[in-house]
Amino acid sequence: MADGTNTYRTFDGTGTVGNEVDFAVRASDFFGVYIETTTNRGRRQFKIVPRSTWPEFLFGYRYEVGIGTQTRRTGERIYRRSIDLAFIAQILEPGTTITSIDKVFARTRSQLDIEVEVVNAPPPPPPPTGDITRSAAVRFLTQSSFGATEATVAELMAMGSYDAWIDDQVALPISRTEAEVRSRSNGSLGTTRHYVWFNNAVEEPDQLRQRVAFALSQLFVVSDIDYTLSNSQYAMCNYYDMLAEEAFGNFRTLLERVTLHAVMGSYLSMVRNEKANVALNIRPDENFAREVMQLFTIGLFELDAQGQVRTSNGRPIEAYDQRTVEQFAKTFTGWNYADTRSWDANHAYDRTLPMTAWPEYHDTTRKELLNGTVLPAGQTAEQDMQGALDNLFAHSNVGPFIATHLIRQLVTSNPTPGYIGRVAAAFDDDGNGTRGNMEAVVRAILTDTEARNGPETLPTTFGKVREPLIRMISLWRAFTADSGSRGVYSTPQRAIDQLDSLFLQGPMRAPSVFNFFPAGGRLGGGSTLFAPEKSILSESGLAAINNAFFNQIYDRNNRREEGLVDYWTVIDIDREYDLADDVDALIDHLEILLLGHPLPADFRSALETQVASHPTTPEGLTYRAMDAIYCIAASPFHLVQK
Amino acid sequence: MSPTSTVSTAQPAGSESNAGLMDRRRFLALAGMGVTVTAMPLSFASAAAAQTGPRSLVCVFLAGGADSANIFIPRDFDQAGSTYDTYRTTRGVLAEPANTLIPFDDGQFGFNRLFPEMARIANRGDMAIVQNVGPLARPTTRADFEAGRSIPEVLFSHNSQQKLWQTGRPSLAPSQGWGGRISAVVNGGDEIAPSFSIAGSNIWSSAQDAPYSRVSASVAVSRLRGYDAELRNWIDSFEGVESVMRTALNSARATGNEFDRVLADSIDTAILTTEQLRDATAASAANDVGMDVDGNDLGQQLQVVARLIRNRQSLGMDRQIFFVRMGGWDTHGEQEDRFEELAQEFDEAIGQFQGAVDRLGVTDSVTTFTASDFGRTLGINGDGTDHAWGGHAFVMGGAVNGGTYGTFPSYSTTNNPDDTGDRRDNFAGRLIPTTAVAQHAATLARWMGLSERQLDQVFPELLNFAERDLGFL
Repeated sequence: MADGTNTYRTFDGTGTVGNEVDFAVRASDFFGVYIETTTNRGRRQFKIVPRSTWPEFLFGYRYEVGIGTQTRRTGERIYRRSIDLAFIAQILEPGTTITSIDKVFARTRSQLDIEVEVVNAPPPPPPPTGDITRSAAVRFLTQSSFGATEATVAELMAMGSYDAWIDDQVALPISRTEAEVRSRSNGSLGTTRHYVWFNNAVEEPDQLRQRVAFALSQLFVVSDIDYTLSNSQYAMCNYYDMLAEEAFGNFRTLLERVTLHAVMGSYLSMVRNEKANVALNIRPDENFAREVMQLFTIGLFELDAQGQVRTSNGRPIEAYDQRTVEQFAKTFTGWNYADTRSWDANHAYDRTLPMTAWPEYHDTTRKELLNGTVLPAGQTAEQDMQGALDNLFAHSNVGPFIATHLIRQLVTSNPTPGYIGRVAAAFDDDGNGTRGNMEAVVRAILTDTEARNGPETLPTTFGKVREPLIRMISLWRAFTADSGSRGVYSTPQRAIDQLDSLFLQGPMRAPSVFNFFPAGGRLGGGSTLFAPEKSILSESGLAAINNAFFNQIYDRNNRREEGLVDYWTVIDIDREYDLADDVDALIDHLEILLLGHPLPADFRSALETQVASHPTTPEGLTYRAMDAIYCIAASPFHLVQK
Repeated sequence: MSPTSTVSTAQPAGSESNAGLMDRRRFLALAGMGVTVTAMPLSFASAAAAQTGPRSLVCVFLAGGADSANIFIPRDFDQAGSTYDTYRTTRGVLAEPANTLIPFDDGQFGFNRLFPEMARIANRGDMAIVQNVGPLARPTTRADFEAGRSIPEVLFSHNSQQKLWQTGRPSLAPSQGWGGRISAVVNGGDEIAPSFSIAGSNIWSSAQDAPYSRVSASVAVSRLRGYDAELRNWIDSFEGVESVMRTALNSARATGNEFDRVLADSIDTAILTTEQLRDATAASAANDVGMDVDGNDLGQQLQVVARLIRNRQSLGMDRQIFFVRMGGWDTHGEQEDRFEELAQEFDEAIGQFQGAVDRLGVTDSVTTFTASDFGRTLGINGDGTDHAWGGHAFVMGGAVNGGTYGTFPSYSTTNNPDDTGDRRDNFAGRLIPTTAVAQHAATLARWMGLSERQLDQVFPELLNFAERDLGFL
């Protein structure tokens, strides 16, 4: 636009929004570009220092100053510049967030300000106040636990506050797996680990921590499908327990514990990564170096503060190149199992012990990392490791990258940029000046207006496909399943440690470091929405999961009088049986407990007819309960979490 | 739009479903119409299909980046300055000893001793070895690489390179797989699309107007209880339940958002697929294909493929497309040990599969090919290798013209024109492919019935290469 007006893309929080700005200013009179903002520390005005040089703007072009909206061009081009508001972050005091950009203007030496128009998006609506309804409680617990139960719903409603519930959860003792697996097995079979993991997920009260640990296990992926780790079950448990311990801690600590954990060292071959030997044509192993960037911290492409990929000429900007991978690869050299007898010794190792460094195998050359950081030559392996992790941690991608992953794990597969930006801001600064506070991030995710109001405010895009594993566990939780005389959960088709063949998911059983489903997976069927979890819902898998529900509900419930086997996992449907003579009450209860929202009218009506078709005899009432549970739990609505 | 979503908008909301079978017939009829009506210009069934009889194409994806430089190995060590010597020098401790290699053909090349079945198929003339193939936008030199000219996107990373292999394109923007695109062309109008993945969702099988079924090797295809009243047991109220579930599906489509709609369609597809495929994939005596693949995951996947090939005529399938995947090839460390395990599973599975195909009498109409994220670095990191670019691919079947194709690259660590190198002229051990995935895939697609014009639409970069047909089929 030649007249100096422009609009910005919506700016609803901290964010870097690259925008085109036109100024019609006499070159010799140009002084600078200014921005006036409202921040959480009051109004701030500052001068934009552009990344690229401005001289071409100043030299050789003549303009006429525009007053109001009309500018007369003298024949030379009107110049467009792109102002990258990323600079703002560099010059604000730490802990400052921008809530709106109020003015953008070019100032001339003669003190004339030429303004451009700024459009701010309306601020997000405040979280709803007032009582938490049953439906709201179920929705929240679906996002923050392995499934809502009547007991946890009642608890949350009584507390009346999501923040209070989160505080409570953070303070609960941590459920772990290692100690119990040690006491019950010799560490070479995955079976016991699965038993304990499922018991914790179904029964233990620290649900939020466990859910976050599960989400982190899908980021910092290790898997005992890998043949080396299948015999290291104590260490696998130790790794998972570490994720649970750090779920509300600091990301920098978590990153370091993951990096040095021998299970990860084994999985991504950082263990025994040695410095180069040029004569033998040996160079450092790039596996961990690449994946720690691509999958654990910054991703493949540069992101803005709202997690959107930055582009240049329409192509995404890569966050690092092959050379950077090689630099990190030599940084992470010289680490080995803590109890290894020699660098190459081949014997059983205790992979619960963090790796330790061997100076003679560590590369001590200079390393050039991200954003111009240089690790000087001559450092120890520990110093280089700390420097590398600090470098990764400081990258501006980390907040939006982690925010996006956790939001998609817990709440919705297609978050708005604003939502990502708000959560990323909590990562960047938890309100007390700390970067990387995971508790603050989780809290920001769950209390955000998008998580709480998504179905109303974003009806076409909000929600996610439920992970099959979580769906099964949520059924057991909702109906207070009794695991059976052996104390382990089971499905009719498969034992618990083989559930991944049914569900294509098992705790720490991902087929590769890219997790059970690729992050970029789409819903398909003509939709462009993301739905990573959909990719593991194959035709045969859908049938298998449906049949697992069918068998659990119809064959393995506690109202069945004959034929129950004592070690079966049996669900308790007494509560539903008691409601069943009132068809409306039964369906009202189940639609909220299972879905968190009412059924559509036509489905409800058909279900009412079917349920009412059974007489009010004891057998009939049992059929009423079973039909109502199955028809809702196996419907397409239960496949989606909203 | 996939045929199923075409159907879903055509069906009135709340349509009754007591006659469950009738709905499925109607669904099939509409699906058939949907495919041809919404088809792109490519989608007329190829006349060639009728002329040549049924054909099946099997993609064996080796996930992680298979070290093909240690599968197919130069063996000319008797000669001065030999390629084998260069190989041995460059690969150090990971080089296979010359006297362990299984000779191929005239002995200039050989197979790693761990791949006897591959060698056997090759030596009977049924294997093409396509040398140094990988994603390319155009023929690319080392100077091009250093200048960043027309380089495929995001090299050396697993997920991006898997995508480039499976789309046959040099950019990450296109999302349709060439297996799916073949299916869209040759299978237009089929009631059940004869495209299968035994390894879950994947890009290669995915394309517009090309639905594919995902069948598991470890979970028998079973029909959906509750949704399917024909499955009776000790409770006889299931007709009513089935009716309610039908209403639920229609309700999700009519009142829900895209998530609800697509998932309802997925359930419908599952009902249809499991009904059609249960017998064809059953592990029954009648359906035995004679493969001994207990404990071999890839073998179990290929066993499902073999069963579906066995039944292709009764299923009315003329041009079957299959995708299987074997993981674990990302041998950054402990490569010697890992490679032995990988080879054992892979070679045994391929051998068993080819045996089944031979016994079924369809050797000439089943073509199997390998693909992988990338080859691996020629130089090593001590006990393993890292991500590279070009690698060798293998195509097997009776229709294949056996031999080596493409150009064997240099393995030298000095002045290597095929090496990407780095700015300081060091040897990188990452080979710039001398043959493009597009050329490789086009040769396979042509065998499945695509015309030259259709090939240009599916592989736009093909025009950049002189050789549109590598000649192995």
